[in-house]
Amino acid sequence: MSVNEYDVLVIGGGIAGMEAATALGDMGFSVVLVEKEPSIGGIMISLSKVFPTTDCASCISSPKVSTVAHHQNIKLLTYSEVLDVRKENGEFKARVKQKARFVHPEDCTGCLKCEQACPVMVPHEFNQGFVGRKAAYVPFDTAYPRSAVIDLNNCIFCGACERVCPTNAIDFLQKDEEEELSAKAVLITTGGKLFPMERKKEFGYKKISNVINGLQMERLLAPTRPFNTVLRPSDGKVPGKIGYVLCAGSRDASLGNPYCSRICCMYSIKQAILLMGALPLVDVTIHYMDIRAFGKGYEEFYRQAVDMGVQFVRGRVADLNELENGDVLMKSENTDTGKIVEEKYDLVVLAAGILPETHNRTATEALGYATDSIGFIKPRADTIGATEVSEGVFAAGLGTGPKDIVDTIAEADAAASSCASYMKENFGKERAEKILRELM
Amino acid sequence: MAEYGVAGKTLKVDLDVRNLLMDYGASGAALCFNCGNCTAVCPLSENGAPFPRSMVRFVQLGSRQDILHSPEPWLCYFCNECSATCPRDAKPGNTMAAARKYQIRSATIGPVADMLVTKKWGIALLLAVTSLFYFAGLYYVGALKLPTQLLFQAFVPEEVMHIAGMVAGIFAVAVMGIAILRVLYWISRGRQSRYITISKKISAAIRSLPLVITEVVAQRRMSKCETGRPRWIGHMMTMWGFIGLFVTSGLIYMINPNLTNYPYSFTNPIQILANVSAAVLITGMCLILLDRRNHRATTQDHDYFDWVFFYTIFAAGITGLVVEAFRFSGLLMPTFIAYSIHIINVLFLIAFAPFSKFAHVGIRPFVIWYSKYAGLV
Amino acid sequence: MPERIGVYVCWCGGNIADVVNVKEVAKHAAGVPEVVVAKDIMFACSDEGQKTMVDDIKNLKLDGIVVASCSPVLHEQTFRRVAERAGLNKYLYVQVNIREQDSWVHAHDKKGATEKAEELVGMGIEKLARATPLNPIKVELTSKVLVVGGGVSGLTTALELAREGIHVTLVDRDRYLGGFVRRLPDVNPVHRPGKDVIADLYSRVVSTGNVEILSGTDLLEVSGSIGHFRARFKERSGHIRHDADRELLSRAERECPVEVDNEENFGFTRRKAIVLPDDRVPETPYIDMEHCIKCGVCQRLFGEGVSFDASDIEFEEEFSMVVQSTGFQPYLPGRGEFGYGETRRVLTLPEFLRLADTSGKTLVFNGRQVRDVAFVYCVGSRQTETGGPNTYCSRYCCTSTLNTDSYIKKKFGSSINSFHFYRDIRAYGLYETMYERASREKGLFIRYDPASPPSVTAEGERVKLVTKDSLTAGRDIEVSADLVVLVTGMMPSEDGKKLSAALKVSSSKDGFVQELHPKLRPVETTVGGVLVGGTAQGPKDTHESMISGAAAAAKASTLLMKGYTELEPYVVTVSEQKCNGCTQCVTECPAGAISMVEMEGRQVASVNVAMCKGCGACAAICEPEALQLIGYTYPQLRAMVSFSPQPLGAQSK
Repeated sequence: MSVNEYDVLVIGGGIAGMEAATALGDMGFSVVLVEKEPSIGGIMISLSKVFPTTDCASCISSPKVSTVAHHQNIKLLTYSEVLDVRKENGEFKARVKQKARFVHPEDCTGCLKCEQACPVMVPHEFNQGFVGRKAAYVPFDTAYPRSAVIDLNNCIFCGACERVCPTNAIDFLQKDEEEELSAKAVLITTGGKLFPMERKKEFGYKKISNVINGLQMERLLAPTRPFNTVLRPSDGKVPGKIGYVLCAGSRDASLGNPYCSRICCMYSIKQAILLMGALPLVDVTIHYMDIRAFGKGYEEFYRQAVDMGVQFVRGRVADLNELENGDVLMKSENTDTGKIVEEKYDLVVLAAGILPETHNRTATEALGYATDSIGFIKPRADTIGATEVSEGVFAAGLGTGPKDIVDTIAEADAAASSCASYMKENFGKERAEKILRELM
Repeated sequence: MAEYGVAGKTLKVDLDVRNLLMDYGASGAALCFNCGNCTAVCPLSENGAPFPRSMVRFVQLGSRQDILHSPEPWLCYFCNECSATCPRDAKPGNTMAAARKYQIRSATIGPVADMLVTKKWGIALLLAVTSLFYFAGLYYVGALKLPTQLLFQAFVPEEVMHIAGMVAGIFAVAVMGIAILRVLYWISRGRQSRYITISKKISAAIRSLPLVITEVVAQRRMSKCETGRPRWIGHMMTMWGFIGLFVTSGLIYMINPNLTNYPYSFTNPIQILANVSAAVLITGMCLILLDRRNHRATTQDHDYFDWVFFYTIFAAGITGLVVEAFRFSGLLMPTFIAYSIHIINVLFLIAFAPFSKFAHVGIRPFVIWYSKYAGLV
Repeated sequence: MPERIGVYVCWCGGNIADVVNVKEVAKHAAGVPEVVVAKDIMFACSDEGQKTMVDDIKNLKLDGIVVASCSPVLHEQTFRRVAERAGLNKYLYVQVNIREQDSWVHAHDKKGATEKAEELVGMGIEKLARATPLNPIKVELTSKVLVVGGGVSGLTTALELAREGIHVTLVDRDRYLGGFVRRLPDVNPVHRPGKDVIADLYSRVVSTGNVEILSGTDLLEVSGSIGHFRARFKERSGHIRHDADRELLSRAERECPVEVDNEENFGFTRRKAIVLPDDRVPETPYIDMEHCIKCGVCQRLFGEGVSFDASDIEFEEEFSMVVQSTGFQPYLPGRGEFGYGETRRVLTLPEFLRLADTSGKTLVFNGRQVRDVAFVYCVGSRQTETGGPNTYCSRYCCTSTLNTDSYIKKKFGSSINSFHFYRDIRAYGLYETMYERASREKGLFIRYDPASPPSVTAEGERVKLVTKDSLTAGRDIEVSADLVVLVTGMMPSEDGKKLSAALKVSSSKDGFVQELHPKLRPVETTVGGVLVGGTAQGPKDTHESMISGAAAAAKASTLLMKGYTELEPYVVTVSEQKCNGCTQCVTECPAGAISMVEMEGRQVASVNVAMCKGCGACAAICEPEALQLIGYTYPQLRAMVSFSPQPLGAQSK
């Protein structure tokens, strides 16, 4: 194992990680960015459009991906996980495992021949299970690196992919590789995930076919969408009446999550506007408690939805039931009138909230940061406006709390700035000396 | 359908009323953020009532009038589905119970009820008064002495029993009667029926009777809540057990006022009715107790007001059986003591009835009747 | 001039290809003589798409590329980097917009949209065929930044930059730093007084040794462009020595005969003409000459330390970059708005906070104890229904009010009852727990419809509020209170608007500073070298303002650590021979970049390349065509305009 030295270790390659890594790289620091998925891009790259500008999400994030990919100061380790990271003598030492893709990325051209040849079909995570992918697959269209991966858990070892690969990039004997890294500072941008809605039995998520969550609807609307239009899962019918359930999995003591997830009002309004455009005859009703359109341009965006004919009904949805033809029966109280509302929808979208991604928390536990009851990383006690969570350790993005893209970018840049200041203060002289030595 | 009050009439916020209701048990009412989940989740809301949220809202605003004018607390069966799913853990079920308590308190003698309902020493006081009354009565007829024979008439002369019973009974019935009338008056003010002519009113009243009967006899609407079936069975058994014992006492009073051949043997049909009723009563109460233990996290907070009622009935049943057991064992003093306790227990139960949760026995059937009549359910 | 051109037509998933037949367009372009290769790509911006272009440039020895895709706003830099990676001059690349300008606006006319795309691509090829390699204009950057505004955001920006070794000048009109936060009694989420938070920040800033703090200083003028901003300051004299002895100061304050309302506390307290820092920073006293009667009491104590006639000092400095952190100003309700200014029991939230902070153990207003407080939310914000100008949400107010609620209940005990007349409670994210806390502490929430807001009328010593409550099915609810607090929103600061105008920074529709991209670039403005932090860009709370300030620091240090920046070479050149000295271009130029100079006895135009924005307005108005915009020369423009598409097959090779 070789020990590689970097200035900053960034854990997580979503929009927060990419923004911070780019900022630090531009400042001249050497950055190693570790991402557990085969491609960087995080959640943002799978979204349809962003609010309130309705820019295409992957359009505005792929330049970031490209910048990170080609930045001379950023070392990108995808399909890799930090096994553990700890502080030793003022610096951080980390063990990183690069998982075997069973493909050599430097030889893979992303031609997709292996994908076509592979006989195994499993649900496609990127497309939220709507369509399938092969066991040998390229994660998605705008993935970086655009290299195939073989999902060994589902692979049947038939060897079809190996036979058709024109560059012999497939190697079933490839092993995981471990390396030791050292860094002066650590930046945690591990992101978040959607609240598992199956935990709310009343909503019948995963039991009722036509109840989907917000990310699933994003995929149905995205430019790289699985189908040509918005369809409902049970019978492929184009929905004429769609209902949104806000605060699903959030602001709910009975589910143990007292927080508001901050983005669901806005992403539901955005999806509603897109749906009104994509399906001209559709009726969209949003069932809410408070409409939290608080950011710049957000209130105006909300008004736009109202003007376009999106219905807003105040009253938290109590339960969903499946009808024989696949329709969903939704029950709530319309608190403005005090009457019970029983509404039949073709499709119901749960505006699911955000939880932190805690997939590999044990690896970073030794860094000494505090977390709250849900698992979000807290800033250092009694600080304000700070991204430092422990000495030399910074965090930004969904990992510290639910937030939208704008606030993520600001927090990521702030973290980069504080990280740079920290390094300048603690390693300034050392750095100056190193540069001097390199020049000589 | 539930109403949020009389339109056009301004509601003046009164925090003192709110605070009183919160003392009465609506502790979580302030937490409610009016999302409507409870109302939508309520299994009985298909028929338009009850609406937990309207009650909680009235409590938040301290609207005495709206709380008193609402039939909802009487139509609610306290299944607590609302509390189980409340996103703020505001326990709307508790607020419903508190509202019912408040209606009872307002319909009976307010200050006395306040004392009994919110001050623990109130119950002790009433118990002491009842005991005093009992012993005074015995003294008055010169029966305040230790017994020498195992004979119930020797313990307590039948005249004393009858007078004590009648006094307590008349008191209870009077208070209860007034309470029923007041509650009905308020509710009719709040939710007017649409009938104008007397004949229409009478025919509507008669048409509404069947629901009253099914609810009183079988609490059919209560069985709608799936998780509450053990509770429903328990309550039915408690109720019928109690009715059985009540009927027994009545029969004895009517056909054997001098208590000849008393106590009866086990094969006596009246005795059999009494024993079976007692058994049914106690089993029912055990079922309820078990159900409360199992659902501890989501059931409404049963305060001492609730438990006093529960245990008074439970005790009445148990002490009765204890008396019988001691009687058959032939022990004098234990039987006498147990008998005294049993009588005091029952007298207390009767006197306390209109101020306690027991009041639902009298008030609820009438409220259901009116609600059906006025088209609220 | 490129002779081997590659044309790439992007599908953009379905965004373009759903309407425009991209394969046709590529085929059409292939027919043009200079075009060596014409392809359609699924996502030109993806790494795969980029790789295709890089490989083609290298292998086919292309000397120019046309990418027909989305707007240059999104990907111009992306594709320029593609050209650079392949060793091609990045200005020999033309982007043709067939998405925003075609497929997205002609969605119902596929044939027409395809034809338009062909025409647009043809024009792009014409332009490229007459293009020359260009080099960006390099501007050296010294490590000197001007931060305008010493509030919590400006202080954070200054701190972060100073820690990185960059020299900062922090200027604030106010004698004491901290802006709005300074006057908060309780800052969420640390629950410490604002003065403390500011003092902490300030001491950290000072200890870096890299920040020049100009408080009590007016920014008179600022102009220039990245690398060369010139600012003129006027440091207002305090008329008393900065390091005046504390004990003497206390004595002077006691003996000063002049007493006026203390504007720091909206007049709830009084102060003397000689003003002490009172835990504010910097800890310099001053004499308020507007009210001072020059009685000489303090002069006798300090001797030469006090100088009534001391003059203000004006001076100039140059900076590489400017950060606008000018903050906001609170909305001021109109007279009669919810009873403000008429009923003496209505205050705004900032006023109420000062009242609460300066009250002792009980909350007292106008000699009466205050028990029942009614908050009315969304005053001055979300004004769509009422026709007001502020249609935006002011973001910070819901959480600030909930925090205030907790603060007064903690300080004044359970005697306080609060009523909240709201529209939506926007206690977003983790702040939801503050809403829960306010409910738990028995705050009563009443939801009003903006079309019929609460009426506020005086009733004896108290106030009566009546509104339709949508939580009680529209019933009229009446609340009696001792005090009404209007939760006022944020408005763009007037001083900020002046600064933006001077720097030519654009504003958004809501009046706040326009950021370069609303999602991805929240702290950069449309002007190179000018950044924006804090509430100047839009409403936000204390924590968010600090994060924004740190983000601005990151953007600044990125450029400054490199030591230089590159400006677009799209500037205007002057052909002195053709210039007839009419001076119309001087007035036409919006950036003030053109001046007349003497040459060979006559006046000719001269362009300051650093200030030129490349808009081309001067070139458009120049009759003799002496002014020409590089990258958009007359031959290029004429070729583009006169281009008409040939049918496929009719082109000669």
